Amino acid sequence: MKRFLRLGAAFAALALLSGCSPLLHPRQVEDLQLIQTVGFDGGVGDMTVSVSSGEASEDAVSAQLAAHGASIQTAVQRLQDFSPREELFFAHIRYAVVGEACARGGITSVLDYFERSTQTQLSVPLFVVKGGSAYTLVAAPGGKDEITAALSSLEADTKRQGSAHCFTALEIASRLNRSGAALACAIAPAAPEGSVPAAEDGYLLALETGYAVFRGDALCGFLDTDAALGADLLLGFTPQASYVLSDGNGGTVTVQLHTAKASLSPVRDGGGAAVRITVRVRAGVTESSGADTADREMLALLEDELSRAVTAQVEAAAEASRTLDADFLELWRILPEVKNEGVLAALRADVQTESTLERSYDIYGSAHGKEKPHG
Amino acid sequence: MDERTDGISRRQLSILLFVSALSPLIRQTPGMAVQSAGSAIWLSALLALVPLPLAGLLLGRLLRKRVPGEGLGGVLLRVFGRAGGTAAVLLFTAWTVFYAGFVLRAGADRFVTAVYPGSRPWLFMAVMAALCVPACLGRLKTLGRCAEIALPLLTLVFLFVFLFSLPGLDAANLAPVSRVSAADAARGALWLLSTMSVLLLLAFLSDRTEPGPLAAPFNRAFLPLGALTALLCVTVVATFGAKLAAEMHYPFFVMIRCIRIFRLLERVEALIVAQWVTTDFLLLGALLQSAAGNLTLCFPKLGARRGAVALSSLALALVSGALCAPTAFSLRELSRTLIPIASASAAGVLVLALFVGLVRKKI
Repeated sequence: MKRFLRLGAAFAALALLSGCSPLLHPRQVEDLQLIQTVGFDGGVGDMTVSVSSGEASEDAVSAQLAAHGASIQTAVQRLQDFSPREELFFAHIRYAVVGEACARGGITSVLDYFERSTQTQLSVPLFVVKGGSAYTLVAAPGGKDEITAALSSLEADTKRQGSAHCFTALEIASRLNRSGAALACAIAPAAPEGSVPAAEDGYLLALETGYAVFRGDALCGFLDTDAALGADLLLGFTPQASYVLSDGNGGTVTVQLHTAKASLSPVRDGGGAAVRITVRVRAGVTESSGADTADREMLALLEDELSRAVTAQVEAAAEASRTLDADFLELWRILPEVKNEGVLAALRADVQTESTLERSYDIYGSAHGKEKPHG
Repeated sequence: MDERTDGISRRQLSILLFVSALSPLIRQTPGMAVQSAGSAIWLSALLALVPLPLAGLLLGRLLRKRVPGEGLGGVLLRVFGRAGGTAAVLLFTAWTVFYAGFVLRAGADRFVTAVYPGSRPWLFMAVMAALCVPACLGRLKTLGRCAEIALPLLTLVFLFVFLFSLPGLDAANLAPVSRVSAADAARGALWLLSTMSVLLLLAFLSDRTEPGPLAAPFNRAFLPLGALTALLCVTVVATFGAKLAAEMHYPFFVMIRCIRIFRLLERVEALIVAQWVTTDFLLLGALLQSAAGNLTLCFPKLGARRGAVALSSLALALVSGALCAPTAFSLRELSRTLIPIASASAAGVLVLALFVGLVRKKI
């Protein structure tokens, strides 16, 4: 018996010595303020950190706080002073938001904070607020109008529709390291339109507005939604984008992408480096204003239209990469000289798209179009 | 093996070597190797697989004619003569004790860096040293049995981590590999091999291993370890990219921190970091048993007080661990300077012993 007691005492001592001593002064879960979204504004020497708790449970009241500091860490410590709870708990952050001004100044300190801290996770999606501050979205709304639910919805929508990829802090950091450029999902605060009856006055939505482009560690521009779709196609994120095409008779046909595959190859001729981009897309007709989608000529016309639309998007992405001198498309993989100064800015992109309309769902041709004459 | 003896079976030796080596593996992989090889780290890992069976064959050849109760220490005495052999064994013993101290210090640093920021490492060192007392005083067979029990648990941990890290892998981080990076990959392979060099120190436990050829048992530890190293390198670099992975202290644990399972389970890193206490415990126990065995071999009068010798070795290891690296920066510096040099020297002595032994027909 004595032996067991001695062993028990030894194990208890070891448990307490090995870092479990807080067991003597346990933290109650209700004393912790769970933080789900964190926002960053300002720059080196003057950072503002905004946090929102989100609605962790049905009973929990969401809270928003913001504080200034000379660095992220000091601002976080000041946040703690403002909090009525015993401890702000950053271990379950779901989203990070960076204001445009902060992003233009460089996000090294933000990425470094996520990389260094044992509390934060690098797998957190990072958004850039186009034309605004993170504070506007994260802390300013107050009360139950909080950002976490909006970003969660946005993330789910973009994943489902493929309209944008929510790059994580880790993806951004590793792309910056290997290519010197990276994309982040851009969002903009917007008041809800009349078509959103559930929204209350003063409620702000976070709308996805393409991509923010980082060169080095600083924001250098944005891709609009068309260029963003082009970038998605080239980076292998197949967007389930919809295209409204003209049927040539004044009507429209809407198609939705099913699959898209881009292949890139280098072209080296006397006139300098170029890249040949071949895109193959497959799509289905989802809506028609009367065009006969079973008609071969009509299909060919629509496929040409779709090819032109996709080509324009891919060209827009390549053009943005060229004008911003940011290789976010990672063209250096096929043309290593792109990493040399000035090469990307002079790079030509030759884009060709092959489209196939493979189905029209439950309507084969047109149920409401003009009857074709028999015989 | 006879249940009444202190020895372990050859199978237990393989498992003990494998599980013990997981401690330095997690600390140093990909570490310096990725600084040298960059995105070609997978090539380094493949290159490192080539000499591993040779190391097993080297040890097996050295120990081929061992008599019962004779291990690598005894073979060195036979090959280099009493004086030369004693010097060589004492050199290995000094290195073993210092390495045990380094393991104590590094294990504490792992806890501080990965789970308890702001803590002091000394408490963790003291606790681990206290845990090692029974390992020093107990039988080697018990350590072997512990390793057998720990192996499936740690295998499950690796399976869990690799499986749930898959969605975060980006193969683009592993390319491209140019001719220049192939040369760097060769340098990276040397770093990876130095990570596994602790196995050479543990090979001195062969004096308490059942009779029979040992090349196969050594290779049963070396080759899976090489394969695991390759998998770890590829997973870590594909997750973080070469540059970020090279700067991280414990990328494996950061990777675990990023794991999120269907929004149901996350932040399991503390549980997994704690698993590495087992590997530290086994490595330290095995190192200190090896050191005590070597000392009693050189000074037979100490044979009756083997437990006291092992405890003294533990005390020395604790002191050297406390003094070797006051900060995490100096610990990292030690990892990239002294440890590889000493490991290469240890391997060099064994290769020399092979040549001398063959020439003098002693092995």
